[in-house]
Amino acid sequence: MNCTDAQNLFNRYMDGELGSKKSTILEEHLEACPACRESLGQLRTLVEQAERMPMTISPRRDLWPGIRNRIEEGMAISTTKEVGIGQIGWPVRSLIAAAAAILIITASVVTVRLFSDGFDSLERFYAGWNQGLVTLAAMEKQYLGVTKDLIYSMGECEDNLPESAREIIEHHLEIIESAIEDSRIALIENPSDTKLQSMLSTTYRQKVELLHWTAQLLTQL
Amino acid sequence: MTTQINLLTRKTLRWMGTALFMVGLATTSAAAQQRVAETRAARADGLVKIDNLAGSIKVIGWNRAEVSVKGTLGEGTERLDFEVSGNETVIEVVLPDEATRRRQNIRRIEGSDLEIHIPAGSRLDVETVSADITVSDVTGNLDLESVSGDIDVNGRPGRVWSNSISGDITIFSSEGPVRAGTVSGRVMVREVTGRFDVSTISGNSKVYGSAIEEGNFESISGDLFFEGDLTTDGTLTMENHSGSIDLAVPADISADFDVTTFTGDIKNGFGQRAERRGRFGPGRVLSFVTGGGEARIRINTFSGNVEIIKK
Repeated sequence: MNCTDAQNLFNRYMDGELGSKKSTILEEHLEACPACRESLGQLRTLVEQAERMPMTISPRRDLWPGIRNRIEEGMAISTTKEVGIGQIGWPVRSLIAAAAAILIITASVVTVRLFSDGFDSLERFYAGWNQGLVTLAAMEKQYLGVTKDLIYSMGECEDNLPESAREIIEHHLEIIESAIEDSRIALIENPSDTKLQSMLSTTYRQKVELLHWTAQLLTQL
Repeated sequence: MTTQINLLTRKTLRWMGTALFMVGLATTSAAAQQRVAETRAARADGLVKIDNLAGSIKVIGWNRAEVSVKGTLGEGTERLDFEVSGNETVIEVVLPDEATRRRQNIRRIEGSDLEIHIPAGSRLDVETVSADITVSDVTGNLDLESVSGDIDVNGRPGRVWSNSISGDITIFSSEGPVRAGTVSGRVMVREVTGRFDVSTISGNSKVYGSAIEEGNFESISGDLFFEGDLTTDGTLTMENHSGSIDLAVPADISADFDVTTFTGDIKNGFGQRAERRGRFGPGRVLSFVTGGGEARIRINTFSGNVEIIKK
């Protein structure tokens, strides 16, 4: 059994669904492989953390007032008006979104720290876990920063949007938020699920692109 | 997955501001319209750029080294710019700026309908807001962009990059890669070979292809459908959140299938049954190989159903 084979069995092993023969083989591998032992330990920690989390995280449904509120609440918004998300390569965006997925696992704790102490505390929080999560947290920081810049660039211009464009944007932001909510909740229960992370990353990217488009539109009107 | 919806250009977005001003495109006044019919010599393989905010744009490739424009400029339109400079031809319906509109008390601007013949080998770049775009018999590369207008492509163009927010995109036949992105518009691509990328948020997508080297679909709530085959080492990736995914492939395809869905159902015409993964894995997973398993097919949904159809 190699490491890939072993890691593919982790979920079922933790779920008690692996047969005794496979469990024995896996345990033998774990005994000889520190990297896999560490990975399994991390997974256990994530699951334990996730199980203590609330099972629902409600997104804002009324998006435009939400956008305004975030600005008015004085979150540490950069004054950068031009956001070059289009120049961010896909691997980076993917990591950003994957980082977002990891963030969600610890949503309640992280969110409090994120919005009260700023992003540095987020990285410190993750530092207690391992370096890989710190990297993901850094990516998440970047993602959130870009999103904030986009929202900021919309400023108070949103009333200038053509009604038809506003309807399309609002409707599709709701679709996206709903999809993000689904994935977030699922990730709380399945923190190591790379497929869920992939879907969440796609959804985040589409949200960023839609926000970017909206921001561009508003600055042109 | 590398698919993405390309953002609309700044120019198109700027136009949307003007679009607020435009009304009643279908009820144009004959007296206020202006007929145009002009022809210029142009390079057979040059770049043709067309800007028209609203109305319609019909582009047809022909075997002459000329660009011909005919049609009707809508009421309130300022003029048609039609210039050839070196390798580049620019055709632009120019609208009065805001100051002019106020000064001349222009209260409505109507769409312009243009039929444009270009050398078949031209590269084509079209931007509109609400104008429908139709392209046929152009073999060069196409860049087509609209906010709410439909985009239709026929013939055997080179690569096709097409984006619309709410307009539908239909591409019938392409020699080169195809990229089609919408927010709510539907996408239909037929007879594509090689590479394609299709991305929507809520729009449904259908692709009929052959000898696909790399195909990428993504959506959030739109339904995705693919029918066709892949090259020996081709890859097809389909990712959706709540929309369905239907895949129809030949019975003798040689491919490695990997299908996962979190809460959706999986139907497999090849017979193998999906399995439930552990609590910490995706809800359903289906992995199987046909033939030598050279091609790779990856399907991933959250709640959307997946059906694999053996043809």
